[in-house]
Amino acid sequence: MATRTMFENSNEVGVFSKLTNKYCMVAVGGNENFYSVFESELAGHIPVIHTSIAGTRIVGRVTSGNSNGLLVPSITTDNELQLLRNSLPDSIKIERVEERLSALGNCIACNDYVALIHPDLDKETEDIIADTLKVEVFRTMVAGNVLVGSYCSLSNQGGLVHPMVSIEELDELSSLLQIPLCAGTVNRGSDVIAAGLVVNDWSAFCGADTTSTEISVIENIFRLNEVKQGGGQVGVRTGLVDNL
Amino acid sequence: MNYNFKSLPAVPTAKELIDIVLSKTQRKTPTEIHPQMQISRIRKFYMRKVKFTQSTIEEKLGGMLEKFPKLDDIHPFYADLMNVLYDKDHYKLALGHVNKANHMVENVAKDYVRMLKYADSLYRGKTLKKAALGRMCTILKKLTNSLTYLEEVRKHLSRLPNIDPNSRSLIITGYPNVGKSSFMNLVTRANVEVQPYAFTTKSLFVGHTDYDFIPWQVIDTPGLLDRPLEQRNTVEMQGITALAHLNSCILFFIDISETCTYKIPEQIQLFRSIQPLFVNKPIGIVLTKTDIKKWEEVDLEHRNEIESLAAEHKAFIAQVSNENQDGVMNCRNLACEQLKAFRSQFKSKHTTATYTRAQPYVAMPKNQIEDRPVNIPESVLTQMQSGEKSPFSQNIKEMQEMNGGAGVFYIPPQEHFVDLEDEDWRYDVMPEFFEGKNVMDYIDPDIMDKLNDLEKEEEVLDDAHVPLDYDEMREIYEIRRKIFLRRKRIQQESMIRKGTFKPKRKEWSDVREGLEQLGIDPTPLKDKIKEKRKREESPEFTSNVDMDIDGDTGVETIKKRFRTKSKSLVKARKPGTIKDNPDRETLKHMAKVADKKHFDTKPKHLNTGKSGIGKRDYR
Repeated sequence: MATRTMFENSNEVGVFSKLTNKYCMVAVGGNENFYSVFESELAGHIPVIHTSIAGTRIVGRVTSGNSNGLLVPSITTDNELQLLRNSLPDSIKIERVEERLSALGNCIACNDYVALIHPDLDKETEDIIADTLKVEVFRTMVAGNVLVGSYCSLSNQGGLVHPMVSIEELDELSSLLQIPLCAGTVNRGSDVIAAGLVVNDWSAFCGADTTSTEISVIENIFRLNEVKQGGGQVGVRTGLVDNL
Repeated sequence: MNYNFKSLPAVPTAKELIDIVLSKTQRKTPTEIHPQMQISRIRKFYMRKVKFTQSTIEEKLGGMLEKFPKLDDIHPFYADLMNVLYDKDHYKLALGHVNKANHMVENVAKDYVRMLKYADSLYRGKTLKKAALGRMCTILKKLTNSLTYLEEVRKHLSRLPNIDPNSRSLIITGYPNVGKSSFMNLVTRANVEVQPYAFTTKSLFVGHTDYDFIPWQVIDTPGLLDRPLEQRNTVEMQGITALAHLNSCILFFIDISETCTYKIPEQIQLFRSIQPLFVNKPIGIVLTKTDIKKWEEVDLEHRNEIESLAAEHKAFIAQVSNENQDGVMNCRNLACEQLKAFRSQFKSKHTTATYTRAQPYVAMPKNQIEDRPVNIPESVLTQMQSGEKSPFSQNIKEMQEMNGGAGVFYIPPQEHFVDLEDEDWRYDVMPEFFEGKNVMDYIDPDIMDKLNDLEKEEEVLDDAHVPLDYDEMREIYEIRRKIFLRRKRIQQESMIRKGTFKPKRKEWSDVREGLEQLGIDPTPLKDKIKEKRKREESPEFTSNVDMDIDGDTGVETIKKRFRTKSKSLVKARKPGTIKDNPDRETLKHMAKVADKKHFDTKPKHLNTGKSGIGKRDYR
């Protein structure tokens, strides 16, 4: 099930949170409404922690991580790094990356096996990504955009990418990532997928503006309904087809 | 195309039509004319009347022809239904008649307008006009029968049920009195008359029902008797047209209680005889009146027969009791499901590529090289399978409210710490700075290991230390020195070749020292040098040098010879054009003179002409 939520009147939930299969980081806000949404879905399964990076709340855009590790930018303070280290399980490797492009979340899109990265990232950073996150790394663009981390959202089961991506490109990315991919939007037509959607292998959170059509695309491509309901929407769909 | 015939305009009778036309002519054309008026005006007056009448008639009849459905253009279901109800030939004849009358009126008008051109008096004109209108009215009068017929057709058409031939529809059929209309009343909101005698339903009825969020039309047809097509009456034929032309799910009703006076074998026989109409359509066999007689109570023989019939036509069997509404909705749902599956299959097969492309494209990885399992925690999986909510009960929002609400409450970051060796450490304070040093800079869990490694490495290096061999070193030094000197010499030689070599002028003190060491008296040499320098700087020396190519002058040239020449695109000014070192004023004046153009202040063509005192601004 994809859950609609908002961070203090902003639909860009992917900016203020980072979700992986092993942990979830949420920005420190004025109230706990946003945190409680994540907590009710995830608590008891994975740690959900409050985080700030360099004193900012845009934790989702400046960090990148998966089940194996977490990369934080060089602007992260020592204290924050220490808190992260203490709050995350020891199996998660945390690495501070000295990289000019410090918005790592915008530059790296990854699941537990593959990462797509910004073509201009340093060679050293690429090595760190491969070692820390234990992924295959590919330098690519998505629909002509270098910020691959902003324009696609990936899990181990599927991925949603920028709506203007061509079919050939989609096929190519899909064979790189080895997961089914689909072009789509979130938040009533926003193409910045990763800003409006955070996803892991069994749950997803999207902005409150996301339409039900967008949700159904998200749930299908990330296979969020499979365990729970065995694809219950088939009936409605044939009805829609008949009306066309 | 919309098949709503309610909007057809009423057809007037011939008499009414004549009245309408003539009164309109009277009202809409001028009425006053006098014999003394110009003859052309009189002619025009009457011609106008004739033409106007003709155009009014054309408008009326033409409108009729346009509005009435043309049997060749409409959906075959409606074409056939109209044939059954109104007789195709008769209908076409009537419309043809109207069309012909229209043409005849047109010809009459043409003839009389031509004659009116030759009218020589008011009286003649008036007579011609009268004759023309009279003939037109006669033509209209002959339309009496056709117009009455068309009006009847229109009335009947407007009462036909509004059936959309392309939409999803369920058609109910079977022998009379088997419960078709009762079923219809239960499934839809239509209120069809139900009576315990045969042929209560004498025409098609349509009702609508909602299933799966989309509307479905249910068509109730009159009962059918098992007889050849030619013997069927109009009432039955309506049902037949619906069965034949609508793409629908057919529900064939069989009364298993046989209270409709028709035995089960007869009803099965009817199915078989009208079965050619069911080809390529989903079929359902509906067994009705199960409240009177259960399906199990029916003779085994009949049951087998019905079942084999269903199997033969891939039909589903539904048991229905209209009396206590058992199985009614189930039957409808089955039928809708079948039709939906059938239609979507048909559409996906037959619609164009654009339709398929409209669905989102999902790229699947071509060749899955390795197994990449999903990473879902065990606890999530068990929760999903059991469908229970998370056992986690503490809600942070409640905590927030209890501890002062939003903006006041915050969770200390230590709350999130995991894997602590000792729970007491959780709230331990750790300073950021200690004695002016950033504590974090000194935190390294592996510092001792690293130190050990370093020391080990050093030891290894110490063990491997070998004393140097000085003779060997000297040899190497000598070789390197030779290489250095050789390289230097080559460099200098090439510079001399290029003329860029400027030997360093030796200080006199060095020279003297050198000479004294050799045991030579340096004084004569000093005098010689002095004399030479004097000569070099004197003007006579410079004038002798024959190097004046680009206008450079003597001393400069010689000095410059020692520098590499930098090339400039600007050519030097030729000597003599301007005095050496011109002052500012001169240069300014030169610039002015160069750019100035003197135009003709009194051009002849502007100053000659005949403009007198010069009032005009052009010449």
